[in-house]
Amino acid sequence: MTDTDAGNASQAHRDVTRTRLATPLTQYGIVLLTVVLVVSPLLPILYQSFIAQPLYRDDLDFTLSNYARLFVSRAFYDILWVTFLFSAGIAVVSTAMGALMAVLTVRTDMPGRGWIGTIFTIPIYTSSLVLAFAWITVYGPGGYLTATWANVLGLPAWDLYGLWGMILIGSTAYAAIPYFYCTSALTMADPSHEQAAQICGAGRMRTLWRITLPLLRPALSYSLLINFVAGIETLSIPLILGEPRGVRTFSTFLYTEIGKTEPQYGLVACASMLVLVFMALLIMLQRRVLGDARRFVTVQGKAQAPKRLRLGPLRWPLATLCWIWVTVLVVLPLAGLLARSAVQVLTPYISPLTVLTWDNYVQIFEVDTYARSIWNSLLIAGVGGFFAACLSLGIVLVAERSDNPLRRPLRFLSLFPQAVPGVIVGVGLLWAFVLVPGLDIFRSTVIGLMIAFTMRYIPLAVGAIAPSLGAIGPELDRAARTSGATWIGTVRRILVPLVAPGFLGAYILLFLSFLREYTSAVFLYVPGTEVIGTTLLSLWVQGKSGPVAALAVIQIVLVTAVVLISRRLLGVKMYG
Amino acid sequence: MAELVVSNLVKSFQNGARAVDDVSLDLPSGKWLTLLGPSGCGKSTTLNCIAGLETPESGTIRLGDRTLFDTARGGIPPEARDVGMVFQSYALWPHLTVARNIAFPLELRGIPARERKGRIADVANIVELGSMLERYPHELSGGQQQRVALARALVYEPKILLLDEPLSNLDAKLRERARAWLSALQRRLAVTTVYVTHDQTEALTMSDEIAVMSEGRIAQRGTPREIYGAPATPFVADFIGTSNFLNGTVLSRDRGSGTVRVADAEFRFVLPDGVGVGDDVLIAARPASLRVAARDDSSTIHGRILQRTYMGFRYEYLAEIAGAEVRIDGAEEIPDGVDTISVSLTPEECSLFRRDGHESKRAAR
Ligand SMILES: Nc1ncnc2c1ncn2[C@@H]1O[C@H](COP(=O)(O)OP(=O)(O)OP(=O)(O)O)[C@@H](O)[C@H]1O
Ligand SMILES: [Mg+2]
Repeated sequence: MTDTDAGNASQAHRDVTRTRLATPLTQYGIVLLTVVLVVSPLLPILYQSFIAQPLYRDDLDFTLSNYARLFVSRAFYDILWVTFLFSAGIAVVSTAMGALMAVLTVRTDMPGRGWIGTIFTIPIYTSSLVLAFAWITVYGPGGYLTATWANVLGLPAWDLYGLWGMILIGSTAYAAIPYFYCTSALTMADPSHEQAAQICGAGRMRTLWRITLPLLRPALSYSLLINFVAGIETLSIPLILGEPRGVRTFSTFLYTEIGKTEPQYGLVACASMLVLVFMALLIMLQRRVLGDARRFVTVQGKAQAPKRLRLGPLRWPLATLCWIWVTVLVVLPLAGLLARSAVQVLTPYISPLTVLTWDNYVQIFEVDTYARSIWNSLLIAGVGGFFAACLSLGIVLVAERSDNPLRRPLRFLSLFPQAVPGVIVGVGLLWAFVLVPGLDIFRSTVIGLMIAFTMRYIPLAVGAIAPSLGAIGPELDRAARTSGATWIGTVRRILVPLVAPGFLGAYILLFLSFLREYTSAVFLYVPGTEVIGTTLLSLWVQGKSGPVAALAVIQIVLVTAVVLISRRLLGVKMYG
Repeated sequence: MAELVVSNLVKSFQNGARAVDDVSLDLPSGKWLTLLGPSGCGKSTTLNCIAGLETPESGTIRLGDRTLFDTARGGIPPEARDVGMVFQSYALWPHLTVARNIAFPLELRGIPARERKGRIADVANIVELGSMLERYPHELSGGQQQRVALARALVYEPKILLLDEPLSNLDAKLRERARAWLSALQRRLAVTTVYVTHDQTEALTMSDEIAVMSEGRIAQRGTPREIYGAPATPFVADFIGTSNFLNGTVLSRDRGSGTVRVADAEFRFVLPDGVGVGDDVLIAARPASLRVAARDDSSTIHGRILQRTYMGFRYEYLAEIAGAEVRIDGAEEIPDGVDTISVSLTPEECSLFRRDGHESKRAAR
């Protein structure tokens, strides 16, 4: 060995010992951060469920009486039953809608299928809060079309409020998820199955029923489960459409209870614990049934043009029905919302053109709290979303590409927030910030909201990054390791550059989600940290439907702009 | 360059199967050892344990005067082992040019840019890639990619070169050329090399030493000549390219050799130790040692023709002889309707093993 070789070797050795610490520090740092993030909203709730007084008091008694009281409470069983009906309704109706629409747009030659499919999925880009406002504007008791129908045409009117209306709007809001899963299953399936069936003499409808639908079984069961969970979680729809009729789900129960002057903290915590356990069981069941891999179902197909089923004489009637469907469910409500934002009143009795105004928008931008909520949302989405994306990337790297002994628990942990409804995240973090001295800084700034939103959407981002990391052959990092790179060096110089597109996709997904998120924010925001969603709610409570519509339109415009920009400029496709 | 000593290496995966089961190897500095064996026998796992990409349960791995792994103290991470590795898929980093790919290990070792440049140029010359340094991996052919991977593994003068089926992604012609080129290069650089393959031609033509692996264990260790000439087990004989197995019985033995009956004929064989009169034996016959007999005499075996195939300039017969199926070459056609075949056998070209259930079952398919 020459002198320089020896020098290099000792230099390399020093580097190795220095970076040898960096790798475990980074890995365990990510693990610790994830643990803190995931359990910090849960621990206070667990704690509170076993004490008689509110948890911020000094004189605490440990007790099981909270659970005892909850189990004998008639009202609680009512709430569970309603929550079950509502969630099951959403799951079944939205999955049926999504699957049917997917089969029609992917597998048949129905005219206009591209547009119909696109319009059908719009609600997933707006929030269910906005969709609920839109529906009320058009189909609510004083809505434009309700009034036209009942008063101008003199026909019996409907009542949008109550369980059925909630299920219908909820299903419209979440139907895009089954649609995407079914679309991807159908695109990847081999069209020759269907051709074979037709050659055997099966009719068109029979082929659809006997061959195509069974192909969808995994996508269907997955969608049912996801949307069942979504039904338990959602706050806006039961709050806006259920509360006025006394239809109370778990989310609204929590919301109203915490909003009281003397909330029964113990009861809230116990109810939350039970729901958490139930959700965790559901998700475990789903893993058991569908296997590990399906967690990362990616919504993307092979580049294979499926042979389409010819509908023949049914082509036009079906297309017409579908157009009516998406128009009634999506186009009219959103058009109504847009119209409402630009007029003083929206009724069939006054021509909208005579009451045109910019006033609603002016109000939003002139009142400080309202305008601030837009900037806050953008800040949280831009900055918080970025940190959340970075953390998710770190989690995926440790869980999938390291030999850290905790990688399996980490993977489980990172997906656990799927089981935690947004309201619970909000309550739990609120209590954590109150309970732990020094954490007040989180509460009084948007950082607290960033933490809550990150916790909520880690599974989404992990699910978006994991497949693109999986597409990078493991030999690429092995080659870097044998070449002399530490794990950190490999991550930094090989994996991160290669996974950048997946990271960008996850970031945009998080940006959009953070922009629309409000359920976990309703308990956490304080004056100064309002976000669009919380402002929408408080405007609605004040009965200012004009500004509500204006702010909702602003949110839709922001989301649309981000989606379009990322599609056009960066080639990133949302949700497939 | 350094000597490699692996002893009693054991590695199992979560599913419980032992991928590497008590493997010991030693390889003198500058020599070429090939790990040869069927798919799933643990070759790659062994190689990965040497590279540090897998952590064995027990055993020791020593390279020169450094202990890379031992059961008590654990292993040093792959980046500190100073090994060069070429993967089956080449594992070139797609976002870096050829030059940056090769520069990567040098940058990690803190080698200044000037020197880096010189060394990249040198190694690029050695692997005949001088003009392609600014290309990206996807702009190269398979053979060129393979040479970049080799350059990347050699550029920092590792103590040992580990190659995991580096030629298996090349087409047949290119593979033949690369074989000659690679072994010439290794001789020239005299770098200690462990080479993994399931191709017996590669193993026989390129290695100083071969270790034939089966189910995580080393079935035989020796020079190509020893492995080919005197396979230690029917498995090795089978794997190394002997295609026919015949059943026989020992009739008599005096000292090193004896008479063995195969079907209706008798031959004199050199008998291994431990084979006695009355034992059933398995005879591994190379393709060339079994022929369709020109004349019928006491040293021809008779069998039943199961199938005949016209191969253009010769015929191949599938025949049943004493309960075993064998393939036999013949220059002349046996007329249709004749369903017996006479076969001559050259004992000197055969290896003989005692039959004991386990081995013979696998070999005498
Ligand atoms: N990560 C793993 N987890 C579980 N089992 C594994 C893993 N890697 C390898 N094995 C098992 O260990 C055994 C040896 O695998 P190994 O990759 O070493 O085979 P190989 O000899 O290189 O085969 P090939 O020629 O196909 O590459 C196989 O039975 C394989 O199924
Ligand atoms: Mg292998």
